[in-house]
Amino acid sequence: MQSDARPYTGEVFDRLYALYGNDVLRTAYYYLGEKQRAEDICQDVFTKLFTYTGEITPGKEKAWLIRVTINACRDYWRSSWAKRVILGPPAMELIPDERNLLEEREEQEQLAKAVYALPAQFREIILLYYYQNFTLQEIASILKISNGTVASRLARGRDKLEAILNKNQ
Amino acid sequence: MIDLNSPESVREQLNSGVAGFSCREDMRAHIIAGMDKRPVRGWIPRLGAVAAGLVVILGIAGWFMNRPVSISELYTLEAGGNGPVRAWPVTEHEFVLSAEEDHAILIHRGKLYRMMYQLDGLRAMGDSVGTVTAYSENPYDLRTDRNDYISNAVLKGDTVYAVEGLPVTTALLAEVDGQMALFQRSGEHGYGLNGDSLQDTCGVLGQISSITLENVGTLNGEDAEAVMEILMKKARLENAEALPGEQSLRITLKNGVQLEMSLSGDQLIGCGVWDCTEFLDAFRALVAERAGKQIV
Repeated sequence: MQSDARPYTGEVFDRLYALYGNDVLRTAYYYLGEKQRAEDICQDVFTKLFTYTGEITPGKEKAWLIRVTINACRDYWRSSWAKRVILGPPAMELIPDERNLLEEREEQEQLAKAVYALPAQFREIILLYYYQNFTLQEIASILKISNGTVASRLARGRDKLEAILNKNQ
Repeated sequence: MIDLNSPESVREQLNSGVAGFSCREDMRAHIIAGMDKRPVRGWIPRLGAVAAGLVVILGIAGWFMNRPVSISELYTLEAGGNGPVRAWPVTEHEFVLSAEEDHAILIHRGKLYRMMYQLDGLRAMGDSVGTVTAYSENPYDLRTDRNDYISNAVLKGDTVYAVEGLPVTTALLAEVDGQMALFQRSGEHGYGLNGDSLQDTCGVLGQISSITLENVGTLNGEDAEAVMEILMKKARLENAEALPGEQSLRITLKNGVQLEMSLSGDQLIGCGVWDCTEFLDAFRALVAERAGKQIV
């Protein structure tokens, strides 16, 4: 009875978790810079999926998951500002695997830190466009803003990112 | 070299940077286990839980609504496009922030107002003074001499109000994201005094309840009015461009509204940078005097 009302349990859940779990986890990590918090958010997002009784348009499951992820990150980002102000922002650190070449890590670290240093509204756009490979239209739909706003924020976010990267070089 | 014109290469770099961070099986198991353990409840216990939750929420809400606004709770907003506007915190030292940041602002005839926090606007709402005629993510680019209000947070067509007891050159009220927000006159992005004086941009005399200078103390009532009068008479304009501050000067008005200036060394920063050692000396002396009287 219960599984009928919850279409994203069982094998469907396992498939979506296997397909997009890392996307959710890593997007949350790049957004917040906190490993433990990213894991918590990942679990919350998939718990929401598990208990979701509506219907997600087939093929749009990733966009749905990332939208829930971004909203959860925003909520946490807002609620944790006092912590960031008092204790300082967490140090964004790379979590590469063993195959990662040492000489490439410096550049990756520079990029990760630059993305993290962006104001949140630009960080979101940069992560969705560059990291998650969404189109401008998909980003507009995920963030519920107009295409023009996405384009303008992306352009400004890219400028800011470039400025941070140049400054840190 | 990171090439932002190549999304693929940026994606590759970002992916590689966190390739060692993956969903673990125990995370999935934890979700499933949590769901399985979730009891199926009837409507009576569910109703009880809802009622208990409501009591807690109302209690917490009541506590929040009755306590005075503290500076650490002041929020400003960033541009929100057509969607819901998002709140971002302003800390005590961030009254004048870097020009690189985007803040919720209102611009009216060359005067810039920066959103400070949201409030119960009814207690301080003055007359309506105009309507937002342009909503833009880049309001700084829409310079106009017309009687327009331009904003990146207040929606087009929304009314702008004066703050009761303050000149419109000091602060304004407008609705942001469904709640009234205070916009305080500021100097940034090339917008400065625009012909106004400190009395115009910080026209609080006669309205002050208290002034708190961070790490120094608080002056109330007549004391607060007296030092502010010194500031108004003696302050010398040092610079039209804003600087980052290190100490906050919080001005609480009789109607509950709070304005903020900041200090960098001996310089006061609000709309413009002002030098007034007389004000600071008087402030410190009065705080010390009042503290001495209390001890006796």
